[in-house]
Amino acid sequence: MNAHLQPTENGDNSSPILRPLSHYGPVVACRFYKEFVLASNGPNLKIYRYLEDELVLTKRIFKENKIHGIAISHDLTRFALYGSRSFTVVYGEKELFDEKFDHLQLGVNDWIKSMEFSYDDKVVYLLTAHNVVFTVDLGTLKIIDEKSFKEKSILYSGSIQVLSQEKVLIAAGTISGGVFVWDLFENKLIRNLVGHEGAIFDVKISNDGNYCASCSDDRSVKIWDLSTGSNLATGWGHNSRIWNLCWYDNNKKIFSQSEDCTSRSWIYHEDNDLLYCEAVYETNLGKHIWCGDVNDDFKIAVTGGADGRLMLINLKSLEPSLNPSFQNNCWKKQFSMDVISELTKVEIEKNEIFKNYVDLNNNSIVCITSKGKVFILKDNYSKWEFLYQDLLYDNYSLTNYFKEENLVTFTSSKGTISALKFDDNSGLSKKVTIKINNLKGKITNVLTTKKNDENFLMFMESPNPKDGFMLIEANFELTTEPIITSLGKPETLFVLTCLAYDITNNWLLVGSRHTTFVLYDLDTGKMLNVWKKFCPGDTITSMSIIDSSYGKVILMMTVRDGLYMYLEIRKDPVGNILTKIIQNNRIQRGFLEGGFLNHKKELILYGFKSHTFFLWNETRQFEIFKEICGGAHRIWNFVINDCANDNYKFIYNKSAHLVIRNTGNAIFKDNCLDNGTHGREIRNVTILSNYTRKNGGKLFISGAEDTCVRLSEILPNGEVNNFWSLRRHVSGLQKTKFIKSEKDEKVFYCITTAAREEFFLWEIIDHPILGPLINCYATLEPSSAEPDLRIMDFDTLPIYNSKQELQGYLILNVYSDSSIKIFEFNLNKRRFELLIEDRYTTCCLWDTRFILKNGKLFVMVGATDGYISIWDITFEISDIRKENIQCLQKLLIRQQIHQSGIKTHTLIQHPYDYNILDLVTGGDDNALVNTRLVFSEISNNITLEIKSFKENAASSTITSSTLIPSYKNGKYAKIIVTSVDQRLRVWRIDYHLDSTSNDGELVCEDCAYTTVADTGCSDVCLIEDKQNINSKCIALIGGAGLSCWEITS
Amino acid sequence: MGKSSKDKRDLYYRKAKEEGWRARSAFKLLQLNEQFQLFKGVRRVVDLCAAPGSWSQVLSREIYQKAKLEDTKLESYIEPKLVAVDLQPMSPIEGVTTIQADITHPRTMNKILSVFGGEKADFVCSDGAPDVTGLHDLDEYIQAQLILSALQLTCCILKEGGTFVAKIFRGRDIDLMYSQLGFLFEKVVCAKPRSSRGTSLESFIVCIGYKPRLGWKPTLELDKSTEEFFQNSGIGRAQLNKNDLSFPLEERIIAPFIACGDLSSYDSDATYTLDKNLERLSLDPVQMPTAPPYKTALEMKRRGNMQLAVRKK
Repeated sequence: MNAHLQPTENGDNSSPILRPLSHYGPVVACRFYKEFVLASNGPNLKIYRYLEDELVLTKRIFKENKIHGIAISHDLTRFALYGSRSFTVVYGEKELFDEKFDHLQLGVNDWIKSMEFSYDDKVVYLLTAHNVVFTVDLGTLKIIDEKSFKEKSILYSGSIQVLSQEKVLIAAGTISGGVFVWDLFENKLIRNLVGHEGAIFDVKISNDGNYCASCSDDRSVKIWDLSTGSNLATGWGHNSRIWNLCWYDNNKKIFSQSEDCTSRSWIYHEDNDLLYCEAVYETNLGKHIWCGDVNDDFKIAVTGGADGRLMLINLKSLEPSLNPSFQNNCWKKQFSMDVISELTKVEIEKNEIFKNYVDLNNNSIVCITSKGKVFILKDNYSKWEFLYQDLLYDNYSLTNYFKEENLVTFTSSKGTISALKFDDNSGLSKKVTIKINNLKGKITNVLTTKKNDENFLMFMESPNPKDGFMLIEANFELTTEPIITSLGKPETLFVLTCLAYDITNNWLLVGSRHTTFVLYDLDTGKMLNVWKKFCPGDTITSMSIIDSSYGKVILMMTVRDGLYMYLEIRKDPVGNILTKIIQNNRIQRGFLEGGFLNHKKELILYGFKSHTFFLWNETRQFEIFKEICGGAHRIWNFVINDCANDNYKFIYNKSAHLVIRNTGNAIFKDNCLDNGTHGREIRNVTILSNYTRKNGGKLFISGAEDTCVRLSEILPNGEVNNFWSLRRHVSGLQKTKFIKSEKDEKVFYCITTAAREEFFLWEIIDHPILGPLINCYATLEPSSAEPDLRIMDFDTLPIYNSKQELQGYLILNVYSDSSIKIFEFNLNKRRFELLIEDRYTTCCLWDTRFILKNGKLFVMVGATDGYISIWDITFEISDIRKENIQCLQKLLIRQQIHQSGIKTHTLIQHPYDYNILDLVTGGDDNALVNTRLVFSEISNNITLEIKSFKENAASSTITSSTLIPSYKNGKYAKIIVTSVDQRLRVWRIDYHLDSTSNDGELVCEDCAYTTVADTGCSDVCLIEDKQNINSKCIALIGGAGLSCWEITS
Repeated sequence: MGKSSKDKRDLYYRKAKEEGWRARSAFKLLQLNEQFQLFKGVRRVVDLCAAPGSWSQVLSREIYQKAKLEDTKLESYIEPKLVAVDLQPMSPIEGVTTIQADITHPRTMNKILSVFGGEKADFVCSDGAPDVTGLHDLDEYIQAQLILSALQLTCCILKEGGTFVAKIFRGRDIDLMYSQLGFLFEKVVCAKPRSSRGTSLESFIVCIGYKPRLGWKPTLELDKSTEEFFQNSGIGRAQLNKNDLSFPLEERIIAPFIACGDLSSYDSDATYTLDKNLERLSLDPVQMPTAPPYKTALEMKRRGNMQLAVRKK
């Protein structure tokens, strides 16, 4: 039993070839410590300065085991880190912050559930998964005491509460509903808390020793009175298992983390057996928030999840101040009409309501009622004042405003505009009336946009077909006569919804319902183009110009159904308008009302999800703010106070009240301390190796079990930045691969496949200002209305025309029902044509490849039965203009290589013989095999010979193998192989000019342990390192997390 | 097994329903037996973590029913005794004595031995698996603990030369398990039946020829953890040294891998096209699943009683 190189003992540094650069993966422990957050990331400890959003250091603590818990001594000088059977004690900050410090590798013979320091910090208690407590002396690091209470059955959870030097309580959560609370020193059972069903996943005693909180597989949180053992209250609300609980706010509240990817805050009210859920925080992605901690002094929390993300929460935002001071503070205020009437001594009629309200830069809000009464809330939102009543606006008014310019306009149905200019002290400094004459119909909508620093535009619509659209240009100071022009209407159903103005080209874009929009050239007043029902969905809710140059704009557009896109609109020299979608995605969060790019060019979206208004950072995938307002059907206004400080205002009507919610400046520099990666297992990763970004980074695409496709970059130091998370797939990803693109063109293509026969071809560009953009360019339609096949693997061959221009691809797909299909894809027409369809047997196919040799084209497949098969399809392909779909006719090879499924393959060209290809396959049977394929130039035959067979190449399934490019043209080739035993191995294949016996032999050169569990995919590329003249070779390893390694030569 | 569209995705799932097996895992034991002739000459069998009982069904059909055809008057005839143990209740199966009990409890061992009339078992198997949490290392640890719990009982009741089969997940530390089992059995093989999905980490450890450790007397005691049970067994499990907590590395060995089940048998990873008529005919599961611990939460959600973050007045 020859295990090929067990991992080197030190895990990392002593590996001769593989060197870890970075790791992103599940965070299972996090703790506040002074101005820092300590968090686990596999076997690494990461320390962040949370207010500044600064990663202070990352260091390896354990050789293999993950850190599952962090304990801090009472005097804040010592730290215990533990996970699985390992633990270590860190003595002082000097050791903690010393990146190079070699921590003691200690351990016991059981899983460590919890550790805590004694009251005097002289010993540390360690609770095992069999309900045994070891007392470890911190001086000698020996076990000086061992205690256990009664049952030693396995625990799913447990914790230690140190109350005093004499009293330590142990809470043990069993696998089936029971919670034991026992006294460590008296060695007696205090309570057996019965009431939960299923395994207890966390149990915590309050720091006064009076209460206990627990959660279980039954998805409830229970709190218990330890003096009586009675269940005081139960909280329901989590939609899945609950993993973590912490007490806070003087043991009145509990903060919980769940598999459902929410954290919740629970409050206990005496005499109420319902534990009340006061807030839900959606902080992490995919599945599982594993850990959380609360800093009770500052009322802030931190959570970590399976997505590797570390998020900060301001718990104080739950209780905003009722007394607004400045915009920088978090406050909320509401007023009923009666109160306003009382304060201003102005009578309010029955049924009189606010028609609209706007927020001005002078810290005031101007409102108009349904009776045309105009009020202002001023003096830092403290004083109501009645301005005037204008019966022109009785029952009908349209309100527009410019916050920065302190300008408000009211428009009546007959086209009379009142423009109000306020000064910095919220005084009405100017009021101008503008009349639109000769209107046949009533004004139904008015939109405004800033034209330049001096002027603004108003765009009006009356449904009467005889009226054109009215365009009014006026200056912000209301000093010059407005210019009123009429613009032609498109000949289609048009209901005005949004507006965007481009200053470079003097273009105006107008959006409508039915995803219809129009472009006007304001130089000529001409309609340049109409896009009718441009995409699925209904109302275009917002449009904005995010980049423009002469004759070209990039428009961002949001559609209420959740779709958003970047459109390149270009006018060619002849005057034709050309449109191209360059970014297209959707959010699954209810109604999308608008979006903008923030100061960091991150895309921020807002809208309504059931009864809440949300503000969402789409680039980085987290919620910035939400307000439970009751839903979208109300008058509301979203205001950006200060984007750089995440300071916003949301004003809305709720049950006859005007509610103003001001977020104030964010207390953290960034809510997200670590962006992490996919929320579930990464199934495939592909690097765009032949393109380098300006910062030296390489783009890569990953696909995961969370159905997301992510476009990210990897930097030479291993840092990963995510740009987009695409939600087009609805099932878990199978394969993602960049395919060959046209030389020198900065347009790249990638294909992703998944279950339900999903097959998407993506187009990627790296925009100089907007950064990398990705759009689904083409979709291969599934073969049935209810697709249930998985596309397991694919390969492509570029098709060129006689001028050597890329025309499209031959695409080879293999399916879970044993089907093999070959399509021709036309890049211009975006069309797939089925050329060949056949079936292998009935077993699932896992692997496929085109092989081009001596002008012949072959198809190779690997299947779950362990066979490799090769067909010659030269004839069928060259003769394609036949009517019928062809079959695979010429089977040349059918050979069993593995006992069970072939999971991966790598083809290596023999450096000295063009006719030899080495096929290295890895299987479910732990074996790695080099099979030599010799292609005959004369006959059509291929001969096959097993050159090297490594039966125990891993202790578990081999999942991926990738050729290491730097070695491609040498006397040997090297590949990197991943397996589920969490090992990375580098294998060398030697080649000789004269075929000696060990030509093609597999030799394991290095083996390293990876903390990425469910290790399933890899890709390798050369990356230029600015500090180093030579480029270095890096590997990305995906699974439950993402790791980056350097492969040294 | 529910009544869902999983039917089409997995042919074994449907076949299990058609043939009356309580779970598709029945085919896994059948295919393991095909490969290793596990049931040959076997009369006293223990099925651990047996619920819902598909392995017991297989044992009943392959051992109990087939023994009925034998000549009971022969002197060599031994009456087959099958015992199924689980914490969950199980509906009765012909020829199988079901015991609802904890496999770590000494009383359970005595009950099994009394069914066998004091004789030891020829064959012990376990298809048990805990609910996975998603923390891969914890799940692997819990599964290893489950195997150790089954193994400690096995060490007490399996005859010399007997066979032990258990479900494993081939993860990070499975080579530790292989190594330790190697001290207790003549031969240790990692077997993957074709009815077990290739995309799943599941495999089965087939341990043939039990060889009790010389000088070690396995004794099941209440309040003794699995670690304590195997202390001094000399199977290579790291021992706790209270005076030196620098924990030693344990030996790792890769067990040979054998794929079992005929290549022509159905592929559990493949999508099969069902006959159009069959497709419409949805089969009821043989046995309804037991109520999950979160059934109250589900009921509350259905009734709209789950709390949202709405501040009620």
